[in-house]
Amino acid sequence: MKLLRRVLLGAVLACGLAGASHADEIRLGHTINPAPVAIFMADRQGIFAEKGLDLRLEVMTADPVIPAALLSGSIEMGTVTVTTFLSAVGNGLDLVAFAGTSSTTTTSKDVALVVGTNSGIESPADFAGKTVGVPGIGALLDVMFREWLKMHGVDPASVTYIEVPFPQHAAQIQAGRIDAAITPAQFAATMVTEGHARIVAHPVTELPEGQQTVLVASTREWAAANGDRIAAFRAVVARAQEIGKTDEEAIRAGLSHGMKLPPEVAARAPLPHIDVSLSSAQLAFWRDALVSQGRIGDNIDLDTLVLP
Amino acid sequence: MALAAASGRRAPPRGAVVPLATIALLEVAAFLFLGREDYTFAAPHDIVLALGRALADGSLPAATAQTLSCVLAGLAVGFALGVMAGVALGLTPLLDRLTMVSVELLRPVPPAALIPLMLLIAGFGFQMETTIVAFTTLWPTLVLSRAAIRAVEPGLIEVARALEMGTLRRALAIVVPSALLRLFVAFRLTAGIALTVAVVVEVVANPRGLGYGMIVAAQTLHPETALAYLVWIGLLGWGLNALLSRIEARFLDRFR
Repeated sequence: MKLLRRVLLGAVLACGLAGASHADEIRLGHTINPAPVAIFMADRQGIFAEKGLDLRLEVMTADPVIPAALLSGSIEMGTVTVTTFLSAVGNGLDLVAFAGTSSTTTTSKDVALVVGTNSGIESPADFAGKTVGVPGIGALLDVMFREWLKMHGVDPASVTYIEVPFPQHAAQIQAGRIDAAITPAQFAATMVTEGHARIVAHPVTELPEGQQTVLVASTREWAAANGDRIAAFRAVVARAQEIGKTDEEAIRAGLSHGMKLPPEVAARAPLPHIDVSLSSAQLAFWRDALVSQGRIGDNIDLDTLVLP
Repeated sequence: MALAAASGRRAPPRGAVVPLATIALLEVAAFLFLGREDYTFAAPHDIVLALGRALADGSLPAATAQTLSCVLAGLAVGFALGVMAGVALGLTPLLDRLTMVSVELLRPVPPAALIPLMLLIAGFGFQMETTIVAFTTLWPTLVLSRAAIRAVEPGLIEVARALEMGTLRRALAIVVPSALLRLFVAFRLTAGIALTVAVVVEVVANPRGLGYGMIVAAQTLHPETALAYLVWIGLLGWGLNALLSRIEARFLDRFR
């Protein structure tokens, strides 16, 4: 009985500790993704605190849970991929975006299209009839890969897509269960090092320049009530972006801090193109891609989704 | 076990042979095939070291407390409701017929399908996970306890009728005690389900507990820590079942 009482008491304490957070704190949910590195840098260097923001980073297990987490009040801010954001808004969730994180450039190595060494894929046309691992159907990289296929004249419907979480891409390619995968740089690099796969394309380099990939969002209600804190947040990430322009080490330290990567992986990971600005034009490519892939209706007004 | 073997009084249990041999084999395989940088697998000794580190820095005990609190609370609610509903349905065939469609429709709802809904309603945390665990454990408990009640010796029910006992008295004095053993088996089975579901909820969405620790370790390319969490979850499930089996043997044997 004594033991039982102790277990129950422990359980209650654990719940209390897990739920504790104070009123002024801003919880920012993010996934393990290099794009929001300006936020990681600012957190590591204490710039949020300097500007009077009590910001706490929380790692979320998956991008699609972030809109629901915002809406339920579990977090106040979240970094979310443009496609998840637009799909959520398209489904009626009242979210707004108020900052970018990093944007596409023609030199970006953030995302790699990897094929198994024995997959027989040599050119884009070879993808027809193959099985490709994507992080989620409708996820940013899935949408990106389908657009990439279209750009190369391949019908996206000729490919089989399988949802495979990033950490499992390497094992699934090695086992031959998928022929290829679209995956972030840090996973691609380890697959190539291990010798199971090679990189055939960096699809971001073929996208229009300056498109945002990951946004910082909140509910419209929270944004309306916290204009000053959003302004402070924007100032902080802009400052981090400035620091990053001259200090590559600071970016790597930020990546290591936010993504908790092993040091040797952080040291060789391609750095994202930090761009914390945000305008509706920077979302247009994704909106058009989602509409053409039938994932959202064509009635979304981007201007109402970006806070001025 | 090592102590017993060293003293020569008792040989190690035969059940340990296969796991120990597997670990040895994996260690050899890791030595032969695992590259210096591998972010998918890890050698058993690295997993043990990671387990030690996670235990020492307090992250594993904290995550265990978070997961177990949800398992216990969800199980308590789900099991209590399931037994009450199961006893009621087992004793009153009319009620059983009336609710059959609803039960059969709700029972197969996969727990993972509730995650987005519960996330919107409750947000992250204890309530969301506990509710999903309770929902998932309710149905097998209901079905197993309904079957347990139906399996009660009809003669006993006749005796209760002859003694003109009311429904409640009949349930408490005759039916539940004679179904106790089967109800406990139901509890043992649903406890395993509860742990599985809690970990799944944490892997998919809830940023707390063992499942969360495991998935974040995998995403941040620390496979030894992710596998250490996995081993720990396995040990926890095994321990939970062993504990309940012991309780069953200790207290419930007289009902056999």
